[in-house]
Amino acid sequence: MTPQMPAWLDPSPWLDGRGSTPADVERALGCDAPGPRELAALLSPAAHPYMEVMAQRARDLTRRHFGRTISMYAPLYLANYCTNGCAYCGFASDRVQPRRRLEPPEVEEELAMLKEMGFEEVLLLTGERTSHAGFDYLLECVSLAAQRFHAVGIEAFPMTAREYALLAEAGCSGVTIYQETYDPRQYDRLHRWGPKKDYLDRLDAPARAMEAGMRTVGLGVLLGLSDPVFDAVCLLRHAAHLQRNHWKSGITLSFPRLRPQAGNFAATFPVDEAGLARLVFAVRIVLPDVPLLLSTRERPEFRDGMAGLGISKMSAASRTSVGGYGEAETATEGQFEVSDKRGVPEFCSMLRSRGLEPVFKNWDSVFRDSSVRGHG
Amino acid sequence: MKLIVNGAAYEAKRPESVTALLEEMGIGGRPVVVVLNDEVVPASSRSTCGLREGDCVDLFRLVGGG
Amino acid sequence: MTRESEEKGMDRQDKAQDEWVVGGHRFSSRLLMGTGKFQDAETMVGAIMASGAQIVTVALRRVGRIVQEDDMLGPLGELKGITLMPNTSGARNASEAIRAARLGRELCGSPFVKVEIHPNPHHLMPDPIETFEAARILAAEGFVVMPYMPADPVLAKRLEDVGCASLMPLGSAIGSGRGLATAEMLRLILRDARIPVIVDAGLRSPSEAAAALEMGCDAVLVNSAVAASGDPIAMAAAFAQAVGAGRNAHRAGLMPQGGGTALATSPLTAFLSVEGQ
Repeated sequence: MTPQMPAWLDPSPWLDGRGSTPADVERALGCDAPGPRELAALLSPAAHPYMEVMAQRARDLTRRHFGRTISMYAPLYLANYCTNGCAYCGFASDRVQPRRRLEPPEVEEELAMLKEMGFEEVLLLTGERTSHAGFDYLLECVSLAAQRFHAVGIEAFPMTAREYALLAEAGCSGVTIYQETYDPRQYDRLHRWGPKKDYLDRLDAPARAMEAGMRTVGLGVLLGLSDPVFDAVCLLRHAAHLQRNHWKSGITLSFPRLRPQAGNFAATFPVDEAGLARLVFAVRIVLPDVPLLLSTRERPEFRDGMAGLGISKMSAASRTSVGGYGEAETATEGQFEVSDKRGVPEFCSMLRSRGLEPVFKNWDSVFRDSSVRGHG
Repeated sequence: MKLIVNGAAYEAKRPESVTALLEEMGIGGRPVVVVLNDEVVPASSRSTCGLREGDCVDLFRLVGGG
Repeated sequence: MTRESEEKGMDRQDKAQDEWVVGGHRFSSRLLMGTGKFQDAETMVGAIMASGAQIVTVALRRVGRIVQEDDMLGPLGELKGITLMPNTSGARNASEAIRAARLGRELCGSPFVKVEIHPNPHHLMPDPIETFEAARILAAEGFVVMPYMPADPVLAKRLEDVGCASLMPLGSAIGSGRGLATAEMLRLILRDARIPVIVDAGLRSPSEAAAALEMGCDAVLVNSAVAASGDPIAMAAAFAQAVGAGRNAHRAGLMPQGGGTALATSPLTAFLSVEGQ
């Protein structure tokens, strides 16, 4: 049953089928307070000739709001058990994969390695809530991470406000949860079974996290699943809705792109690098002060070019398999394949050569208002 | 009966009720809120509300303001 | 972004007629008027009629017998379609404002109240702390609270959180005629506000009122600018026209500002020309 989009999310007033003109693009670029209409114009074919202008504007805005810095973080995959049937993911429950989770001592080892690499912010990831890796497991891992890292985020499964509150108390400061696609029909079609099939519950999860006191929520769409303009405008609407109703919390945005050859799933709306770049520029122009992330699934040259052109936060040397940091080589495939395999020193050196300073610690947990204190 | 009306001493000739007091003072017509010893006297109760020696009566009305 | 009226829960009907909603009540006029400083009742009433204002603020005073000639507000009661909104001006703290609000409600029979607390008689700047306290309590008592406030974006969200029906940030000090000195702050307030924003205080000219509406404010309140002008009735009419023009301009969308972006000498997007995946 296809769920209804809530009124606050519905992008249709701004996607009225009337194609944007160069005049619309100019208007969008000159707009003092751009919104969904301007975003749609900047993502239209009429904006293609303005690519360089948009890049420059994106760079200037990023400099203004973030300085010449790139925030650094590391993802840590804790477990790959999953009960969902996402058509685009190699870890769907019907796919044969070695499944495992890190036991607490292993988690500690991985965390120690990340610390050694220089990271101060870690993002803990799991699949859907399962008996192997459910809330209690995640809570324990958060506690372990919070003792060592100044910023701990999670990217897992939708939880209740109460669960988010407990995680926040344990030291979690951010929750990342991508809607993947905001198109209800596509969403329904792609999420074939499992708890993730619940579109509205997932949509509401960031709000619950904010209510529970999480400092930041990370939103995103998986480019390739639906019309990227539709999803981009919805993402903007989602962000605006959250900002309006939870004015004390922060938002970050990410645009992971479906790998073309991965998981036997062909993107319905493939987005090439130019498309992703344009999306980043346009979102930076419309949301000048929201951190925008780019992961290691994009190739090195692309990441080098995009750093500072809208992108303000990046991971490096990522290992996306469970227990990956303990292995000699990256051992992933499919949606989680790492394209940029550079180590931290090499990556940071690249940033510096481009006039950007990598920042590993943006926040000191010593100021945190709870019983958990990071030792840093 | 000696009363304090709007902060000033006032000798009431007809203190049997608030309504009577208002009539005596020539206050009619436009709305006025009567506050007796810090409590609002609802319009409906004015005719039955009696006054005692030394009562503080404050009369509030709308006036021009920004 | 331009203040999409959907965001504030207005339905299609409101949007077509460009009405705005505050405290559950619909209004078509975006000009509010104060009733102070007029030379006589006739001028005041004439100005209010010329302004088309539907919300008119009045003050509350301890006044006994009023002589006919001094009765400014008598004739006002004759006008149709006016919502009287008592303000708590004169109160120096929250408890005085709360008491005034309750008396005002008794007198007007309406739940609208403008919370105005300025303890410093020299600049008449609103006290943020007392205002917040009074707003919180009055909102809980069911008043339609419209707080006169410093143009502070965080205070704005705090007042929203405690249930205010609108925000009334100042443009500049009362009676100063310094216009939209707080424009940058107003923009920040407008960006995140979920309730109507009404610029109050300090406006001198109709063009300033137009500018406030162009910026995205929902309405403006003027008093001194009309009452102390050369011809208050004509000035009130001018303000009405300006508010209408500003609102229409906002809805039409101002053209982008000039100053094109000079392109960098080496293109930033060269790395994309390589065929990537």
